[in-house]
Amino acid sequence: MTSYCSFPFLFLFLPAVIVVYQLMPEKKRPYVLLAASYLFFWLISGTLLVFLLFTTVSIYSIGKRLDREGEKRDALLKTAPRDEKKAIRQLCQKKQRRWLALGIFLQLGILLTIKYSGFFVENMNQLLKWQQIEPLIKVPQFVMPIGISFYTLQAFSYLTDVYRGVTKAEPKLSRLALYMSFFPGLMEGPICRYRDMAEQLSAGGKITYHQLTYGVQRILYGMIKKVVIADRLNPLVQELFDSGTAYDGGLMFVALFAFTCQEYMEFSGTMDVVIGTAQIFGIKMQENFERPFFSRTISEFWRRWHITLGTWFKDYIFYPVSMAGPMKKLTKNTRKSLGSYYSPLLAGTVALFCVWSLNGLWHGAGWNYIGFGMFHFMLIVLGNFVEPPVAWAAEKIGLNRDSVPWRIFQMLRTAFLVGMGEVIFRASSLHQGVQMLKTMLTSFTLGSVKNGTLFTLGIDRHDFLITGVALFLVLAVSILQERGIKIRDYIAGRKTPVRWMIYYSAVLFVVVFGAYGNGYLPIDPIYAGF
Amino acid sequence: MTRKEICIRCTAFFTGLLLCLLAVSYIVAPKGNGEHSGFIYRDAKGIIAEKKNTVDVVFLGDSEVYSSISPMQMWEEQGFTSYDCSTGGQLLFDTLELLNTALENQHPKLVVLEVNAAFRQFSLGEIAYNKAGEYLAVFRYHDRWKWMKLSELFGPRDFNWTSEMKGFRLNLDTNAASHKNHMKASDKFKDMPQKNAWYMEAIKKKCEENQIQFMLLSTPSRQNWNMKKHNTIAAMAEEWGVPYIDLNLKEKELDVDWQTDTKDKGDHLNYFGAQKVTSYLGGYLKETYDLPDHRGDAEYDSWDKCLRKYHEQIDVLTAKLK
Repeated sequence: MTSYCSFPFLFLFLPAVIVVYQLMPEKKRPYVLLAASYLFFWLISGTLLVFLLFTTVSIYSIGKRLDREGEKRDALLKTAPRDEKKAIRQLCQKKQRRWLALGIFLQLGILLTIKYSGFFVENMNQLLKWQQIEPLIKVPQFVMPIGISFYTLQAFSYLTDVYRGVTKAEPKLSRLALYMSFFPGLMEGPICRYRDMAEQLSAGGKITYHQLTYGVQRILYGMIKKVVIADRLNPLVQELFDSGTAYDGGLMFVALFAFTCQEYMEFSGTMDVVIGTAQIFGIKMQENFERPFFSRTISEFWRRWHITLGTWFKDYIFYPVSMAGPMKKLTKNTRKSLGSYYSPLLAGTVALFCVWSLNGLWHGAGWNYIGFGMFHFMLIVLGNFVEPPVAWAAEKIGLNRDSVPWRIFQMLRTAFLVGMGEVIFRASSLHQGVQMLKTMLTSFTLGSVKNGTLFTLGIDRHDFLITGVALFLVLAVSILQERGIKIRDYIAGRKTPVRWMIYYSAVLFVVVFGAYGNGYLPIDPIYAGF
Repeated sequence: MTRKEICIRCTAFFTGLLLCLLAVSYIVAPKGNGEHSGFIYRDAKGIIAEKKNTVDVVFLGDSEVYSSISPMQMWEEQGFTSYDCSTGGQLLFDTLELLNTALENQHPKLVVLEVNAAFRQFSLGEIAYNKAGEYLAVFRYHDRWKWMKLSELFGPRDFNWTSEMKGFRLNLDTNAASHKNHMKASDKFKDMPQKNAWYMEAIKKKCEENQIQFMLLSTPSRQNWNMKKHNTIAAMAEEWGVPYIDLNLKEKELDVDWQTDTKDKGDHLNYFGAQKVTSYLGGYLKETYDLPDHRGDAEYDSWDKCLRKYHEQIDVLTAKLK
C-alpha cells in the first residue's frame, strides 16, 4: 500500500474495513477503526509503529497529569484565602508548564532526531570543512515512520490545548489512540484538533447510504485529480527538474506550471480521498483546501492552501510569539513613531518570520525548503507593508480594486508567485531552484514548444490533451464551488439514471485516462514524505 | 431506504458498472498481437501463434532467460523446439500467467523455470491488479486510447504473430563485470516470501496436472545470484524431487568470461555468453529429457526460416561491431 489512491487501499483495505465496521455493534466500531488504523500504519511502516505508540502513550499520560494539576489548583483555590490565590495559580502553572515542556520535548525530540539530525550534522560538517577541520560526526540516517510530521503536530496541539484548558485530557487511552492514528489522515493530514474529532471518532454510528455515496463521490473526484492529472504530469516534472537548467526559459516556465499543477492536484486530490473516506464512516474532517488559486494575495493563498497547517501555525506559533511580552512592548514603543498600522505589523513580522522558518523546515530538512519558507515570508511582509501606499495610489488614479479584470490580474500574479516558490520547493537544492527561476526570467523563449521538444519530455501530445481536459473539468467545478453551488447536492437531486451515468462516466474517466499500470512507475505521494 | 432497497440499488449499480467496464475493455483490448498492437508481453506471449503442440520446451523467467537462452541456437544444434516466455522484471504471478498462456496451445515435454524471479517481491495489491487486468482488459490496456483506430473495432482479429527469435533478445553489447566471486561458499539461506513460495508451488502443480516434466534453472548472473539463493532453491528442488541446475556453479565448464560475455556488468549475459549457456544447456536437456530432433521435418519448416533470419540479424549486428 503506497497511497490512498492505490489499488490495494481502495479495493481491498477500505472495503474490508467498511464491511467489518458495519457488521460490528456500535460500541465496538471505534475499536475497528483503531485496529484498521494500526494495521494501515504497520502495512506501510512496519515496526516503526512503536514511535506512534510511544507518542500516544506519552501524551496520554502527560495530558492526564496536566489535568490533575489543574484540578488540584481548582481545589486549592476554593479554600485558599484571597491573598494566596495568586501564588497558588503561579505555582500550579509552573508545574503544568514543566509537564507541557516535557511532553513537547519528547515529541519534538523524536521528530528532530529522525527528520532533522542528518541535515544539522551535514551542515555542521560543512562548516567544519570550511574551517579546514576534518568532519568528525557521521551523518545519521533514520527511516521515518509514515506521517510523523503530521501526528507530531496533532500531539503538540493536544497537549497545548489541555494545558490551555481548551480541552479536557482524554481519560480513555483508546480514544486518544484513534485520534492520533485515524487511518485516513495518517499519511498526509489534515492536521486535526482533538476537540473537533474526539466525539465523532468514538460515535461508532452506522454507515448510511448517504454517507457511503457522498464519500465515494468525493473519493472519485480526488482520483481524477490525482491519477489523471498529477500522476500524468509526473514524468514531465521529473525530467524538467532532473535536468535543471539544461532546457530553455520557456521549459522552465512549463516546469513551474506543471509542478504547481501536479502538487495541487496531488495533495488536494488525496485530501478529497481522505475526507471522502472519513465521510463514509460519518466523520467530518476539516477541509485542507479552499480553491487556493482564486486567491488575490499570498496571505489569502495561505488561508486557502493546506489550511490545517496554516491554522496550526497561527494558533501555536504566530499568536504566542506576537502576543509575547517583548512583542507587546515593541508594539507599544513604536506606536508613536510608526503609527497604528505599521507598529503592530512589526511584532507580526517577527512572528511571521518564526512561522515561515518553521513552515519551510516542516516540509523538509533542506535549504531549499527554508528558502521556500523565506520566499513566502518576504512576499507576505512585502504585501503587508505596501498595502497602504497601493491603496492610496489606487484611490488617486481611480482604480476599482474589486473590478473583475483587476481581480483576475491579482489571481494570476499570486498564482505565478506561488509557482516560483514551488520551483524552489521542488528543486534538488536552493541553488538549482534559483538558477531555474533565473533561466526562466532571463532566457524565456517558446522555441522548445514550437519545435516539439516539449512533447518528448516524458509525456506526449495525447497526455497534454487529456491533462488539459481534466484541468478544465476541475476548474469548472472550482468556479461553481466558488459561487456557492453545491455540486454533489445538485447531482444527488437528479433522477437515478442521470446520476448513475455521471458516476459511471467519472469511474471510466479515471480507469481509462488514469496514469497507472504498464508503462507507469508507482508514484509516492509528495506530502507523505514530509 | 430499507436495507433490502440499499442492497438492490448497490447490486444494480455495480452490475451496470461492470457492464460498462466490460464494454470499454472490449473497445480498448488489442485485436491482434502485431507490431503496433500494444499487446503486452508480446514477445513472451508470441507462443500463442506457434503451431499447435510444436514446442518441446518452454523456458519461464525474467530477463535472465531472454538474455541467456537462445531457442534458435538450440534448434540449430539439438533439433528440438523451445520458446522463451520471459519478460523483464517478471513477477511470479506473471510467470504463472505466461505458463497458462503457453499451455493454451502447446503441450511441451518440459517446462524450465529460471528462478531469479523467485525472490522478487510483490504485493497483494499487485496480484489483485494483475487479476483484474486478466478479466477486464481496460486495466491493462487503458492507455491504448492514444493510438487506437476506429477501424480496429470492426476489423478481423489477428493473433498470428510470433517472435522469430522465439522470445530471445539478441544483444551484442559488452560491459565487463567486476572480478568479484558471487558464489562464495555459504550455508545460509535466502528467505523466500510466502507469496513467492505459493506461486512456485502453483507453477510446479500446473506442470504436474498437465503431466509435463518440470525443472529449475539458474543462469549465470554476477549481480543477481549468490549462494544463499542457490541453497534455498536447491532445498526446494530436493523437497519437490525436481532437478535443479545452477549454471553459476558451472562457470568453468561453460567458460563464461565476465569481461566479454556480459552486456551490463554481470547483470545479464550478452549474445556471446548466451551462446555458451545455450550450447551447454541444449546438450544437457537433449540428453537428460530425450527430446526429439525435428530438423528436416516439413512440419517445422518455419523454424528453419526463422533460423536463417536469426543468422542474418547476427551478421548485421556483428558487422556493426566491426
